[in-house]
Amino acid sequence: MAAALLRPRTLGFALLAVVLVIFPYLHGWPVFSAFISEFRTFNATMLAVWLLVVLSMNLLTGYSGQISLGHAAVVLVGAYTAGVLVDQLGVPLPLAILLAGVFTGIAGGVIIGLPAVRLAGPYLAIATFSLVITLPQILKMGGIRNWTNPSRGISIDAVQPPGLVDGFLDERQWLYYITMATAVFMTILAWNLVRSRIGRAFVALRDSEIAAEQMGINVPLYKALAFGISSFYAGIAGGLYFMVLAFVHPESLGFLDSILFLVAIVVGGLATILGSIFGAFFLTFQGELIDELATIIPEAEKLRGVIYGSLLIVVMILFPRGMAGFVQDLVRTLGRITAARRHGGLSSNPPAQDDTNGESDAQGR
Amino acid sequence: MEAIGLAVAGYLDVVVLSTPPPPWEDPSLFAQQVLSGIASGSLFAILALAVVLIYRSTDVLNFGQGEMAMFTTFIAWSFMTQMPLWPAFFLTLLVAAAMGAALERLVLRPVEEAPVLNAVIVTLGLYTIFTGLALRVWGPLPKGFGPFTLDFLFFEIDLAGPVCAGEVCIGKLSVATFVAAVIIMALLFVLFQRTMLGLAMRATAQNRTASRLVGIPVGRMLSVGWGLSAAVGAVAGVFVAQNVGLSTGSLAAILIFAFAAAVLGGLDSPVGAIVGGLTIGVVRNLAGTYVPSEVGSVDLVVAFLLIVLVLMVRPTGIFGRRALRRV
Amino acid sequence: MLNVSDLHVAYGPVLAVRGISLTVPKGQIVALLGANGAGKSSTLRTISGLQRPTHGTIEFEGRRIDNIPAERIVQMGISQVPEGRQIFTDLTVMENLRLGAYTRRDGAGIKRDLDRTFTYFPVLGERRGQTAALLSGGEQQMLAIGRALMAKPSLLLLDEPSLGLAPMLVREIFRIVKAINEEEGLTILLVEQNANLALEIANEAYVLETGQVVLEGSAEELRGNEAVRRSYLGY
Repeated sequence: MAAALLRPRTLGFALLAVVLVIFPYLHGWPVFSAFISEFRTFNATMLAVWLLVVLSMNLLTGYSGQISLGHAAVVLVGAYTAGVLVDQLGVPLPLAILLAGVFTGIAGGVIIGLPAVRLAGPYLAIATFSLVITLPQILKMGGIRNWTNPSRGISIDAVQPPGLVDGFLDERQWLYYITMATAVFMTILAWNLVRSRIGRAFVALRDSEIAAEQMGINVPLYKALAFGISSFYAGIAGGLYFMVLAFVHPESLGFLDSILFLVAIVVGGLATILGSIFGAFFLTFQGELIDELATIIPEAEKLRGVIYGSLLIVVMILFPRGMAGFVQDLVRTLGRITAARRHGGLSSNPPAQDDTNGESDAQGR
Repeated sequence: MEAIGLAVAGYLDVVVLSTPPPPWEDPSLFAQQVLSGIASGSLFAILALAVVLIYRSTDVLNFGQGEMAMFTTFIAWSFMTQMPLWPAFFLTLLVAAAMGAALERLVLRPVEEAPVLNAVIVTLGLYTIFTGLALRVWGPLPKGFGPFTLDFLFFEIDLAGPVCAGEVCIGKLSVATFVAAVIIMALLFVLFQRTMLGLAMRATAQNRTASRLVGIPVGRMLSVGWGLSAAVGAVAGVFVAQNVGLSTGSLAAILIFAFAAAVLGGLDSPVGAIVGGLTIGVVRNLAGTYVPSEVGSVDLVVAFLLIVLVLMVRPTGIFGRRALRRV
Repeated sequence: MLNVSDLHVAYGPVLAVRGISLTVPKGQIVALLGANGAGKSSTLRTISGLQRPTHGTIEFEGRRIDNIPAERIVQMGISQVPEGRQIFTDLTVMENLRLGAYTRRDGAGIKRDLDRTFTYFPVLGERRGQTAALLSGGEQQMLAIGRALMAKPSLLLLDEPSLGLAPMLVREIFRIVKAINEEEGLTILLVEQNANLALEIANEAYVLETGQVVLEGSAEELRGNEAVRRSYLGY
């Protein structure tokens, strides 16, 4: 038992948990204050929101193979649902966020998922892209503009920590804890989901719809389900987004964000939870990273776009499976080196493998 | 990447102030709106042809297509300060083709084995690179670019000004854009349907293993596809820039509609690109004119709803016949 | 005609073929037998140039071909019918066949071979204008073979032609393959899991297990071999 607790994996998770718990206080501690500002707590809160967005996108695109360029609209629906529930109907915020997730999930599964069943690839991408273009306009339309208030958007007062913990936590720290706790919980949920029967069905669907059908998978149902579950995550993320920023507007999230979500899952690593975490870091810090580079390299300010694009291309070429793939390869290589050292030589010949391996492009593209 | 957001936002801000009379009361207004729609639709169509070309020969959507076209149009602009129109134009085509082929070789070939999304991200990288480079080289101010006078040896055509029939007018430039789109479409049709090169390009896009097994040099086909597509993009850029001005981002907004047009028509169909482009142009214009709305960009909502509706009925576009495979 | 010696093939760290040597004499049908994962397809893929060997040599008509890319190997006279057929499903039957002759420039010869293909596979002639995706599994397999023949090969590599087809169709296809071999003198290297069928038309055969040759001999010898019968022939 004690040995199991000392395994590197367990230790890693324990360390991660400790860091997540003490993070909002680090900026006040002697050594850490040198490089962690108080603002980082807000960064970390947004990171949790983006993590859910990236997970949502990865469930849909990475695991199930459905490319969406409309994901910003889905997140926006979540944010707006929470906003309207709180603003118009006086629903308590936590319940509003949960309802936003449920509503977005059902809407995503039915309104997008069912029609999308017949679409694939670029056709699906453009169809979902239509959402991003039209949703802001729909939010401004006659019937619902009284609710959505398109001119000024919906804002609420910043969330205050409840009386119980008042004094220990300021609002920023409180927001961090509830957002991060939700994100961690839903990440674990996603981790279990992708290892379940449903998750395996998604992957089968992605690899070949025909094969999936032959395996007895109800393709339309699972496609709609992929949209539904993904939209549920996006809806919760949208609700949290509204809570953290205390504001939502029809133009809060748009085309640009949709593209960035797509970039995030690929740069982070498709179809892995670890990749989603990297993707969330990417979304949170990509702007800042380029700003930093611009201060280091002379002339860089004028070449921002060039640097950004070159970085994307270099990452894609050097790490085709994203940062998660890079880390996995690294761990495997390190493992092999340690194993080799332990056994006093390289491991023996691995077994022969199935003939069809390596036929990565056998199906065409 | 902000530029594309701004460019799209710019398109969203077409505000229609008053409700016009219905078509049957003012037929010439209706006809005028249809013609204006065809004019803007021709712009979508001509760039959509480049989209179709690259999709059909490499199976990738190139998000950098618009900015590559913008970049080559800037090059054309630079050439034109040095030499007459035609040599500058054809030199630009050559440069564009070489650039497209080189890009395929340098940045797309290395991700060929990876999932197709990696290639898509690479094209997004190209998008920001070309925007950045153009800003650096030519600056942020729009350049004057046309309308030109075309010298055809025996006669000249001045693209400035309209041609009118009664009260209804269309810019000569728009007519020229449309004609250019139709010519490119015809050329692409011949290439894909009547030549061995075109057939080999289609085969390559579909199944690389099988292509290699029948002896097609797959790499070369991909380079040719990118090169040709960049050249078509350059033609598109030259026409679009005469219509909407030459500046960074000006083609990115058009590219959105070009994608939509190509998808609506069917991504593997040059005819579809033209039909899709014109349809979107006309529908947008008519919706913008006749559908009452206080928010202005109802034209976009209607245009994209139409795309969704068409895809519901025909999942691979109006003329698309291709069975979809991975991604 | 074809000499493979001490061939090793690896995908990343995984060895699929470890030290296979085999010979295909001119005009013969040689079968490679073995279970899934024995290294049969990898061997074919390496001969046709889709895969580079990590070790060993491949000689074709006296020339080393193990470092020549696939698209040039076709020109040299080796044509592969890949596993899973891999026809161009969105193109018509005729376009598929025309692509088969991609490396050739002799118009008259191509025309003649087209007619010959239609003689062996009349159904392809009837459906020449149809999109290949609409063909049945058996017809697709015939198209894949026809396409390979259009390159006018002197050696045909056939990978699992029976895969996923009804037994009756498989017999028909094997009959035609044998006919092509006898009438045209075309040399064939056949990979098959269905050892029974393969041994019926083959002159010689090799049995592979985990990337190595465990048995070789004439078809009759192998049919008579107790171990082969038990493991692969099922009686």
